[in-house]
Amino acid sequence: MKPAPLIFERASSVEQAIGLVSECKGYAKFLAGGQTLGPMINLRLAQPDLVVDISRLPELHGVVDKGSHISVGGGTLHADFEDAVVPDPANGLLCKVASGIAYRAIRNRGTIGGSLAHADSAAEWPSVMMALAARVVIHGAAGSRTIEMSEFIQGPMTTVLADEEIIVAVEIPRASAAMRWGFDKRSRKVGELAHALVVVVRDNQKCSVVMGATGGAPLQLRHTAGVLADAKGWREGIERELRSAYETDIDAAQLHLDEYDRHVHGLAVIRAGKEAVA
Amino acid sequence: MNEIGMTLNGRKVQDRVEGRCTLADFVREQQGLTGTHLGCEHGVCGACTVLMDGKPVRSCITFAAAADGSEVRTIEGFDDDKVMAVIRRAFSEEHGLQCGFCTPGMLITIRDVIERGVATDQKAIRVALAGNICRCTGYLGIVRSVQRAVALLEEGSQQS
Ligand SMILES: Cc1cc2nc3c(=O)[nH]c(=O)nc-3n(C[C@H](O)[C@H](O)[C@H](O)COP(=O)(O)OP(=O)(O)OC[C@H]3O[C@@H](n4cnc5c(N)ncnc54)[C@H](O)[C@@H]3O)c2cc1C
Ligand code: FES
Ligand code: FES
Repeated sequence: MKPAPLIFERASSVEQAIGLVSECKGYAKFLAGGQTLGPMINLRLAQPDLVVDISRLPELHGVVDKGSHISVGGGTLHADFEDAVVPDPANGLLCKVASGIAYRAIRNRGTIGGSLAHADSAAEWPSVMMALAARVVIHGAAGSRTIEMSEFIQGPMTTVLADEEIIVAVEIPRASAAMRWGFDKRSRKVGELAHALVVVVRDNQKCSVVMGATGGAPLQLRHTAGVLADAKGWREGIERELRSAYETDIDAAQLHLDEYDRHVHGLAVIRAGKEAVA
Repeated sequence: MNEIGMTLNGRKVQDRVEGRCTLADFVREQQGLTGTHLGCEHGVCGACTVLMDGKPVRSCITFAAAADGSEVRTIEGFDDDKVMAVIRRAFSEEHGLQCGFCTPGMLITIRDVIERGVATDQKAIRVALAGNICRCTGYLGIVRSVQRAVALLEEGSQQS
């Protein structure tokens, strides 16, 4: 289908972009790569009156090494992570994850800021950034603020962002050299959004396990993480322990999964867990 | 309306577009370059793939106004491209196409896959082409075409 009529404006600064959206009387949207908004506009699921192109704003590009973390611009492309144009503070996890997002032509336009703002639970960045305890740096009409990933996403495709707020950067903690990760994405076809998605990050006896594709916000699996934190190698019996901890986490979260989904997510937990431990 | 300018297949163009106009509709309807095909119009099928600033992008979900100031290359813009000539020959020899609907997007994607050096084996080729749907060939001929093109290019570089 073709988009409904809209006004297209390219912003020349973050401040101007915020102003354009704030002052718009109708429905206004920021446009980054357009790899999510574009399909929605073409299908007329979204019919904004005004689209403000922020894809070339210099403030949204570049990487700053801050020692304990790196700060990547909100406009950083998936392909930049894939090609390691952006240094990977997570021992290769970002590069691995990015290479499995959609297809190359989409990774050449899609951005981390757009992915986090859209907050689809089946997308990679929300879960991965949560597992890495990243922070989101936001600018809006009322000033700027920095929010922990664990508080940024509130529900299915719902974040703390106000309409006129822009993700200018994502602060990703630098992992220790000993950090081990595991990542498993299940989908029927290469490049599709995930049917099941699990990421494990183990650093210094601390472990974080996040499950995506829940239909809601990404879910921290705390019992599962407890089993993996203590694990010394992939010993016998650990798979059973993991499975039972995972079941406890799912029940505690009152996540309603049918038998098949429960099984597929469980499989992703085991595979990601094994990768992070073995 | 937006006033836009871009380099399209090496030629400077200047035009006015509606805000909602996609890059695909711009090249097809306003520039008469109908080699860029539109299948799904939501990023899934890959038929509309063009190069923007040297990289493959979906022209169906890129606004024409967002391509203002860029360099855009459609399938019509590869006549004197040596790598593309080899891929075209391989497609012809290995039956890489039947109806030809997916072919423009396929060729542009494959050229990028070869240039980035990721067409290492059959599996890698299939993964790299997962975003380009072909309803005719069953992909066997396409995968063989890529392998043949890689071999021909290697032969060529050894001879020169
Ligand atoms: C065929 C297909 C397959 C895909 N498969 C996957 C997949 O497997 N995994 C995956 O994770 N994604 C997938 N995607 C989505 C893709 O990764 C998008 O690039 C990404 O979700 C959105 O990024 P964008 O820059 O294109 O954002 P846009 O589409 O431009 O914007 C998306 C939303 O975020 C807002 N926004 C954008 N940037 C900012 C910002 N800096 N600050 C505040 N708000 C902002 C916009 O207003 C809009 O609401 C797929 C897309 C397609 C078309
Ligand atoms: S028409 Fe653009 S991807 Fe299908
Ligand atoms: S040759 Fe017909 S769709 Fe590919």
